[in-house]
Amino acid sequence: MKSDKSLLILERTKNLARKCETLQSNELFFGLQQNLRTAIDLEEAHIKAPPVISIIGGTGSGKSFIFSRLCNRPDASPSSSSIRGFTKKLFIAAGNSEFQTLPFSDDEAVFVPDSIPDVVLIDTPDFDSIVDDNARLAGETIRVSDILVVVTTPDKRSNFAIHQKIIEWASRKRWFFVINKTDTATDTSDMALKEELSRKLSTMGFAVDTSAIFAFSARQTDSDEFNRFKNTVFAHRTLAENAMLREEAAARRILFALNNGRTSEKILKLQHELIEFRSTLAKRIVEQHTLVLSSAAIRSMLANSMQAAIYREMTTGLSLFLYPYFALTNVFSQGISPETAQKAIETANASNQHLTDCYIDERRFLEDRSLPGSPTVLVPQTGRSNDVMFQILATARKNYDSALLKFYLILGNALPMLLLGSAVYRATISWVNGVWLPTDFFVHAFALILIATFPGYLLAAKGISRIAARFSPGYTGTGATELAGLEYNIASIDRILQESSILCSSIDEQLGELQQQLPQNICGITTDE
Amino acid sequence: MKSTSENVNSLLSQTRMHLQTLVSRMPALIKHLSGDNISHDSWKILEQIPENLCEVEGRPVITIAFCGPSGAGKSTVFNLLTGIGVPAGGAVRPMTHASLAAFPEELRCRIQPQQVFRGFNLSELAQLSELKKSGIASNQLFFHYFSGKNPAADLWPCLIDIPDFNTTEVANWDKAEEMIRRAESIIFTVYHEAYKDMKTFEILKKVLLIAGNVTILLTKLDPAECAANAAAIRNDLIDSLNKRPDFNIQRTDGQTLATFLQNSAFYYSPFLSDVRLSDIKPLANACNDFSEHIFGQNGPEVALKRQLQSITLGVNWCEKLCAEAEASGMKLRAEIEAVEAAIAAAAQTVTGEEFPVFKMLNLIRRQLEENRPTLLRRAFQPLLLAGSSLKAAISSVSKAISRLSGGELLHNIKQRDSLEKTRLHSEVNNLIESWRRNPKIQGVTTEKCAAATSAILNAELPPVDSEWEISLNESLKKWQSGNKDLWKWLNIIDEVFILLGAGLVFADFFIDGGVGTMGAVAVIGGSGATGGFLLSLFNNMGLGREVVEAHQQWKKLRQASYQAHIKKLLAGPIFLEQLETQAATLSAEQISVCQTACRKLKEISLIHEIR
Repeated sequence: MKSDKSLLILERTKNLARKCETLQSNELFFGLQQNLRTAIDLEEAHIKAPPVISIIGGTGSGKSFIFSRLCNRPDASPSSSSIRGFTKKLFIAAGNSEFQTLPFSDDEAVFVPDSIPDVVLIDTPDFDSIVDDNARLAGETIRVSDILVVVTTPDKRSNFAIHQKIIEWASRKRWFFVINKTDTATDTSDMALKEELSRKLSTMGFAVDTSAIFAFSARQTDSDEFNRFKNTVFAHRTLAENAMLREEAAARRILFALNNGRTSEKILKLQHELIEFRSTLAKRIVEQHTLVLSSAAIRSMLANSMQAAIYREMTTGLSLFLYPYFALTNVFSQGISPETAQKAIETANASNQHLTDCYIDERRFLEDRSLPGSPTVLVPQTGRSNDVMFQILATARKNYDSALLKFYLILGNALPMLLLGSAVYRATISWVNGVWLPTDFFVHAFALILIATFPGYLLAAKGISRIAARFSPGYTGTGATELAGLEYNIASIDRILQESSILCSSIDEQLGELQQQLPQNICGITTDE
Repeated sequence: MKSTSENVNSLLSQTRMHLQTLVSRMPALIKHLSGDNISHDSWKILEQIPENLCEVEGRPVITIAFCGPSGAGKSTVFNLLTGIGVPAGGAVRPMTHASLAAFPEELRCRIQPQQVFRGFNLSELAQLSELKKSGIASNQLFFHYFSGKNPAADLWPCLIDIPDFNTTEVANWDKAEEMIRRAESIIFTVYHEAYKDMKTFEILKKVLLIAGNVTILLTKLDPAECAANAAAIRNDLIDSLNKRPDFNIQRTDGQTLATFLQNSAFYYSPFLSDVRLSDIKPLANACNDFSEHIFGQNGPEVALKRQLQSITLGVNWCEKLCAEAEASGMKLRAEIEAVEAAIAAAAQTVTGEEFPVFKMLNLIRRQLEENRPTLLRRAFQPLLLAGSSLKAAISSVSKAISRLSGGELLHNIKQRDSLEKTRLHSEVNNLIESWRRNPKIQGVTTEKCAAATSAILNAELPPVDSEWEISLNESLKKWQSGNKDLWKWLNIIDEVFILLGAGLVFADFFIDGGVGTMGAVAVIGGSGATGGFLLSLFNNMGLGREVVEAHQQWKKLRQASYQAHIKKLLAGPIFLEQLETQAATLSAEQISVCQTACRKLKEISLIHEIR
């Protein structure tokens, strides 16, 4: 019975309601979820039943009298010309099977059998009555109705309570309007009354069609206007039209649930607040990380660590005469490993109360708005745990490849290289001349070369320590990644907004199509949301 | 008649002072209990009680207002009585947007309309169309004069036609209610379609509560069954009122609102295109002629009833509010006490157990030096100088070492300030968490907490109270006077300074746990041992008791300074200042003054009622 579009809208609505569940501790999302659930529940009921038309209005407007006349039974719903609040129950004219599907008990409703064809017609108590139960019953009836017939009188046509009720339900229902007791308006014509009402309805957002407004005195039996009204109420509506009417009502209910109380605007505002606060907190977090990294103790530790890392790199490459020194330094003086430096930074962060305050503020901010924390536990301080370690290793490799260090290495190797060259030259010349140099020469040359490597090592070591001291890692994160709770909520809200925007577009599109297919003269008029 | 009129004026003059007391004092209570909303009807009525009855030739000017739902025919009947021709009925509803007061022609130039309607902006109606303009301010009132219908000698009737209170023109509601609050006598005009509307009942209740006299006029009845329908409606109305608890409130005359309505005059009129005064018939408690009923009211009596009712209504409301304020004030004070206790506990934790031992040693040293015999002082002068120089030298060396080692030496010796700062930070968070989880404390938002936390953590720690030094000096003087030869300890103290190094002079140690025991916990390197050594030093000097007292005194004063610090920088800005302001507003004295005024007003009202 339902069109594919309706089914898609229903699925999307259910999906959105499920998404709202994750944030339902917040009243905004709880309300939205409840409204959507109500809309879905109503959507799934009574799709095959004939349309429910309810006659509603303020006290003394003549609802019961009109109902009785429509039913062609003088006392179908008893009324009084003087006493108000006479109707205390619903009077329902419907087939027996339809009557059973309505959510009213025998204490609340009186069944008027077999009076009218193809519709369920309900006479309601006054909704602006001093009797609370009557008002409640009228409200309940409005909820289950597809078409509402508002009855008013010339004297009560500006009544605030009636207008409020119409505004409250305008976008969710189809409407007809009746000005009854026109005979009491001696100083104005029926046409003038209808025009005035049309103007008022236009200001409420109704797409006014004069065929949906009637002015008559129900007491006049031969009134053409009353007959036109009767024909409209009992007009033949095809099964397809009835189904479309229900689909339209369902779509409007969902749209109302989405827009009720400016929900979308409020959600957007909330998301904006969260983003703003995340940005403020992220700045504070970056500030604190930077402070930790720039503290004297950490800087000194990082320089040592860098030095050790460079020495390690030296042992992997070509250091010529200085290699034994670097190898020995690497073996005997391990220095501080990047991992240790990283752990020291983490410990410093963990004991940094100002940083902890940022996470506390995040939790409090979410608590203030009854929003949940992140479902996945993330230890914020270790969010980017390997950052500094990688920076040290990468910078050490970069430094090793740098021209400056190469220059130091060349300088460091220059003297032993010179001595080696000189020794080789002398040995070669002697050999060419047929003289074999004594062993003492080689022993002395070796000793001299060995001694000559030491100043070179000292020079390179000084250079390495200077290069290492220049190392100053920055905090590369944005800070926001450490705020798991805020991230989770912002992402969830974003998904809800995205989903509701798609849903709204689908509903708008469907309503546009349905409105073209549902004639206003038999289905009533309505407003745009 | 004269005596009743005097009675009203005497009532008004006797109550003036007490009313002024309420008017000046109650708004603060109202503001606290109901936000900024002081638009409660009872309060407005109390505020508007006039200073005296407006009289001309000994006859009071009595305001008689026509009020009722839209379409009841108020303006039609007003026109019949005054002949003014206010726009009525027609194709547009509501037709009029302003109130119109009609004075008898005889009062022209004899009374300023402003005297009758104080607080309103009055202007004479030049054209009837002015009443149709929307957007007129609620305190704007038009006036006009009418002639020829003033048979009574008891009053000058001022008839008021007021706008509808139930139409979509919501701005008109206030105008209607302003006039209902002002009028002494009310003609409640209602028709069968609207007499049981929620809004009609709401206004009817207000009318029955404050009016001195109420007349019910049932209009637009079916001419064929006019009398029967009118009687049925009256019975239904009375029955409905009797069933509603909110209409069982008692008026000053002892009647409930429902009974008051039952005893009020009822008139009815049929639905006719051209209705006349003679068509208005009495239904119950009424004389035959509607016009005579309106103009023949006992003016002073109506005025007296109206003012008594106003006073009672206002006073009852004020009394109720005072009771609420009293309870609220007590709750607030209890809450403040609980908060202060929590702050005191936090301050105690922040203060900790460290004791400024060297500060005390310094004081002892100064005391001993002052009391050393002059002769000896001179004899030891060179030694003293040498000692001081040595101390200064050690101090310089220590400072130099500390600079060379990047401050690590001092860094490792935990200073009291540093410890207190850490503890303060932790206590601040604990306090905020406890406040946030306390349902009685509202508005502890993250923003406020973050701002206050930042303020207190970035602020200087509270200074050490000088009171401690003064009181310690006093007790040291007493100790010194009983032990004249104690100056010999002077050198030992100097040695201690030298031994422990100048860098440690600022350090504080755990020595709590009583004299004779070792310093309680050696959480700081060497603190326990040094504390123990110093304690034995104090014991040997016979200063055991003084040290314990000084320690207790120190903790007490330090705790007090932290308590004030937390209160001022943390609790205050977040919520405590607001609570304290509210508690001051709801002070017992303030409430008691209002309660006394209420009691006096009741007594005066009772006397005038009996008269």
